[in-house]
Amino acid sequence: MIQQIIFYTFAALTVISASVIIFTHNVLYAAFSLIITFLGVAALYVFAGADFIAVTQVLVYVGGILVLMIFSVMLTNKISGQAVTTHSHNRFLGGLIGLVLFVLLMFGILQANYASLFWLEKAQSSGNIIQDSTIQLLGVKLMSDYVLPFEVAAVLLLVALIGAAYIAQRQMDEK
Amino acid sequence: MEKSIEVHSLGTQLSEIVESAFFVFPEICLLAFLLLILIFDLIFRQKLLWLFTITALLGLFLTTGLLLQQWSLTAESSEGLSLFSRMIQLDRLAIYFKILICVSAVFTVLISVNYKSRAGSFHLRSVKRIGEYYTVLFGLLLGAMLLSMSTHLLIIYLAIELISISSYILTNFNFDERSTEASIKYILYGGVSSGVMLYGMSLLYGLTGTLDMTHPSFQENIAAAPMILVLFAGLFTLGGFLFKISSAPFHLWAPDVYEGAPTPVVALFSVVPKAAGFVVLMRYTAHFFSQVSFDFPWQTLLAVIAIITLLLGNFAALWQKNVKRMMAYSSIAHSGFILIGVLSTSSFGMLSVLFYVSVYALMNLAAFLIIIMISRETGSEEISQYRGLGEQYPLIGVLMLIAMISLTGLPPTAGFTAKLFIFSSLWEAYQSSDNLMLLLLLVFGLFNTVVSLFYYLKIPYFMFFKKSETTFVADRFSHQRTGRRHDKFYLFDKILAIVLIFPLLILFFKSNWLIDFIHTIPFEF
Amino acid sequence: MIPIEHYLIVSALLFCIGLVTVIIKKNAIVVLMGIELILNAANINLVAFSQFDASRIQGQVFSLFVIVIAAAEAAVAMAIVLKVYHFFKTADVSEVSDLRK
Repeated sequence: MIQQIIFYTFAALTVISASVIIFTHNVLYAAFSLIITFLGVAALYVFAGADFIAVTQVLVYVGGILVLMIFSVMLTNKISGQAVTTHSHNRFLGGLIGLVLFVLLMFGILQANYASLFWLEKAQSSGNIIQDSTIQLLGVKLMSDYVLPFEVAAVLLLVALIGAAYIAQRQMDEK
Repeated sequence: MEKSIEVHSLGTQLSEIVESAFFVFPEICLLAFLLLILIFDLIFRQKLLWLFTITALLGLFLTTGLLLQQWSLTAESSEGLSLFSRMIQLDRLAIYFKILICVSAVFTVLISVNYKSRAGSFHLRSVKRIGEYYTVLFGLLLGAMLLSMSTHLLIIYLAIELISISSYILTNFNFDERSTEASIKYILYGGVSSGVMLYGMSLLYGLTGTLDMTHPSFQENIAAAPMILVLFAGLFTLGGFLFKISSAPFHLWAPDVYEGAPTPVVALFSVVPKAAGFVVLMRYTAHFFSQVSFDFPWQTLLAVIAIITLLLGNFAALWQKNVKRMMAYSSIAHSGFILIGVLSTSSFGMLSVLFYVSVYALMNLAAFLIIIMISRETGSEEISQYRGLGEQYPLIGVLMLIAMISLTGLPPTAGFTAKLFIFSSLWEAYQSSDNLMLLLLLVFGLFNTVVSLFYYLKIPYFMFFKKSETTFVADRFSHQRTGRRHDKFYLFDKILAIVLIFPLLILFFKSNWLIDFIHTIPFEF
Repeated sequence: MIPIEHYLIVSALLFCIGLVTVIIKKNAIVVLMGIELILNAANINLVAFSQFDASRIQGQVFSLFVIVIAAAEAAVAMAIVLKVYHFFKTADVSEVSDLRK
């Protein structure tokens, strides 16, 4: 019971703080509420038995991506006391698309009746459900089944690193 | 006991991985040269610039050689090898596209050699840190080669992201306002579409319990899954692929990126990611759409997408004043034509797709090369600046004329043959399915070919029939007259243009040379 | 155990919020926040379904790669945003329109 209460609290926190991003005009408020969203999502991962993913989420998203974003908010604005704001356009259209899509998705999800899905049923009957920490399995999988994606991700990071440094560095040269 | 079994199976798995590694030698070679260029860049900073181009070309030639060897080793009827625990599938279809990608890359490197951006900040003969250009370019190629082999959703996602991130960086290589604007728009559109694709993939995983499209349980579960979610999953995932081939409604990025990015990079964008995108689309159609159990008219859906793409591309192209922007819309329209071949799904349809993509690569690279040559001459990419160039430089004019005729799809060029194949495969598909939408698509396709005549032939028309406003443009180039006057059209570029244009004529008269080659590909996914 | 539908509903909400953010906001950084929300929504789906895939945990592995790539993409995007600010003195996408003229 307590578990459920905590889950729904985190779920509500995630969704509410995410919707703050839509409604606020202040970019920094948006960034800070995004932190809460990311932490909330990490909590949901824990409930789904993905402890390592949750830790990674906190480290990479909150510790990396968000810091990067807040830095670039600072760097792309002349700070002189006033708040950094953003305007919005296509409000009606955007809201409509989001709403329609959500209603359709909800309809699909509720109608799907997941418990009767073939593979989920099989997993439940054979007890193929995550019980404890997956870190060890994750490590083994990364180095065996997923060794090719692992290498591709390495190349991708190398290219992104070179590219990001190059793009930012040229700017320094010019100044 | 249990532990030892685990260890044993892990051991066999590892030896399987080592075995798999022998089949991806071309990719390993490309990666090795990527790292080599990076190391050269650290050693010879800003010196020996020619060395980088030579190394890049060497790497591409070596990779192409390995691919040709791979082609000759695979049997004509074999189903293809599943490598790295069913992550990728190596078959002749993939090898054909990988060869196409490498050959296009060779030409892109050759085109880049004499390119100079408007502000002169991107010029491989003088630019600092040329190493980064080739490193990122090779990253893009690696992604494209992986994408053409991938049957696993994770690899598809990673390969698409590798192509995309390299593309965002390459778009920015002019380092001026325009290319920066192009790259910010590209990365925002790209991020959204790959996010949507990822959401679709996550739903696909939820519905099937596997990420491997070739896995039997993928097809079983898709057939049993509820309709609405399958539709969402399928369409969202499709969106990511449509973005890569710049087809409607995910084409919005193309005009800005084509206009703002360095021209050699644009030539690459219009060929390599598109080719890879079409392979993955073909595989996806075969594994996903044809497995859906309920009566979903996906062929009609693709036909509608193709019609919209054709209309948007061709009609928007009519009003363009900038050549590169016009070529962007033209490449959108060509995606529509290639989609026709994909939705025919017969093996003749696949054959026509392969033929079309190959011919399209040649004519697009040729067109962009000539655009580069002319913009170096006039300092502008506006069509109005093409006045009278045909009289002054007959060779360039004739080459441009042939490229444009081929892009329109008129004889005597290979563009005509390619369109002929596409339309006959569509006719075949219509006769076997009696789907009225396909007939409509045929009518629209033919109509759009006529429309495209107007904007393609506008360029040769300006070159030959409009008189140049100024008499010989001595003033405009006075600064060049003092020095190396013959620099305008380098002999090297002229030869390259002839090399690219010549096959377009050959393939019209001897189209079976390429067809026989393609015929040895077993179209089983 | 929490029913799987509830994860899916949270993720659908995040997906739609992300999409709306992308459509209506003008600031490039806020648009990127919307993209991150979409990626997070997909990750919730992957992790939630992965509960029933304990022997292979494909969903968890996939979501790990998604996080890695999101970081790489964000780094490149921020570099480009800084570049945009350098040229246009704004991070507002709708004001960045030299092309098409």
